[in-house]
Amino acid sequence: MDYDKSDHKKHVRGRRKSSGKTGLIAIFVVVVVLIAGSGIGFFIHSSNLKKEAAAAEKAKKADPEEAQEQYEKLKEQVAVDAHDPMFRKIDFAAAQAVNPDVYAWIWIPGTDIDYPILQSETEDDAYYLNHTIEKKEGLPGTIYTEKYNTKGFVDPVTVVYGHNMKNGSMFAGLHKYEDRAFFDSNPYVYIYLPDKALKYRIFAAVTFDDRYLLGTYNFSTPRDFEEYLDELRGSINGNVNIDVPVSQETGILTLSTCIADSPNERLLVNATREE
Amino acid sequence: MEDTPETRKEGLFITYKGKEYQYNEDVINFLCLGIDNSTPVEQANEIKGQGLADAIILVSINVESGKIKILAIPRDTYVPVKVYNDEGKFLGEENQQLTLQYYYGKTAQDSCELMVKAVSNLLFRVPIQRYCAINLEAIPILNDSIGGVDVQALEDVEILGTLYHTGDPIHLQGKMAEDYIRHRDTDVFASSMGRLERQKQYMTNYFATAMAQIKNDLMLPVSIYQSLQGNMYTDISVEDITYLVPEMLDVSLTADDMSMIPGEVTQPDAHEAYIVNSEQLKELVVNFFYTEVV
Repeated sequence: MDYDKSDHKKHVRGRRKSSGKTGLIAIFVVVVVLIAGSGIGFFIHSSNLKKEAAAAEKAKKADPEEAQEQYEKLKEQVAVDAHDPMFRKIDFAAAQAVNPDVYAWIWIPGTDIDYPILQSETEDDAYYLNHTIEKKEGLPGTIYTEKYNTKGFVDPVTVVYGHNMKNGSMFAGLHKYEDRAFFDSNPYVYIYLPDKALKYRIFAAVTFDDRYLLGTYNFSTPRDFEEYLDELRGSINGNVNIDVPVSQETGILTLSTCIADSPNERLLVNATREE
Repeated sequence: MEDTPETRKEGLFITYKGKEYQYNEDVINFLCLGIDNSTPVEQANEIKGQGLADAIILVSINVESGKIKILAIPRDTYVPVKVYNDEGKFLGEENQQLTLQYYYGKTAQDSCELMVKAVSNLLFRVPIQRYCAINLEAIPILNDSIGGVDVQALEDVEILGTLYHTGDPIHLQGKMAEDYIRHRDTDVFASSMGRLERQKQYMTNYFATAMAQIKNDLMLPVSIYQSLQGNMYTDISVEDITYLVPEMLDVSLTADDMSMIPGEVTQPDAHEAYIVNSEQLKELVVNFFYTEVV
């Protein structure tokens, strides 16, 4: 508001000589009303702007309950069950219509984990940690891999991330593997790709530190791969089955999620491809 | 998911059953291996000369308190063994008896380091700072250097052709010592367990006899070390010994200080296997090597 009071004072003084005191007061009142009116108007205007901005913000912000409903709907829409989990079909075209970053699907029978896996080639590494499949910002994010893993699940180690949501969604179900009986009786993870289905056998569910796995090791070298495998199997905190054979050929699928009350640690559920 | 160095504390920490523990830095672990071979340990360049690790014992010395603990690990403990070919190329892992891991090194050093890694992994990554491998020739040398070792027969046992009955006192000299701690009847199921008991007994008695002698001759450990050259491969140095001996003069070693990896013997194939009880082993490892962080 480019109102210059000094200009107006000169104008008022100039007119005083001819209209007299009443005119001056009238003009003064008009001026005050105009100023007040503009002020109120400005206030209302900017308040409206804020409300619109807030509404726009809200539309971009994710809501965990709403997001979970959307994931449920997507699942119903794209997943076609079969008697044999290996023959379950995922309609990737439909999923990718929602977000083209969808490239795989994960299902862990015995848990509620049944989600699309996303990977962004352009956004920063943690994008899908706090953006949903609809690209809204906030929890619960998506189940995702970073661009350092190829999308064919042929890398020696593929790391899949997901939040440990209080409402039990996303990767919260991984915590069931802390129970030995559950670990022994629910050993399979299924990964679906557009052209095939992969069956994985869980061999270790352990508490690990929060080091950045893909940055700490060069998993294509046998030495680093073996070191990682030794560390997983040597974890005193967790469940391990040494009867499951693991090699660079069968690879390691590491599913990573947080541990409540322990921000510097992660729960890693690890599986290897089984024929 | 960034690495945050400031969140890592100094020292080795683990969490077990909701509690935090720290590895006691005063404890130094020595992996001692008895190799069932008579050829000089350092030499064997051919894999076939390496032999197998018949005795696998972890000696833990607390250099601050001087206390010693011994953990016996059955040779038949089933673990993922890292398999290498003759050129030293890694081929993969196979679940086999722990003793076989020694076979896959190209040199004595390789073999010892493979065993250290295998045992460390078995004990949930406990650090093992030193190793020592001795062959069969070393046993009479060790035994006689302290004037022989007295034991009482724990069961009926045959030593160099002579039968001793349970309870008989035996003075072990020369090759008798080797036979006593090495002999097992492979036709008898779980015979390696009986041998383990004899080995524990021998160690306890050897230690008591040796400590008595060392008090009169502080240089004895070093001279034993020198006399083992050629039949021992180790990364323990003379300096290590001269540092440790004074710390341990008042130490005793009793059966209470000796433990064995918990598990049970089974027979999955032609060979016996010792399957570890994971839950019990975790308890043992935490109590043995760690102290609770309060």
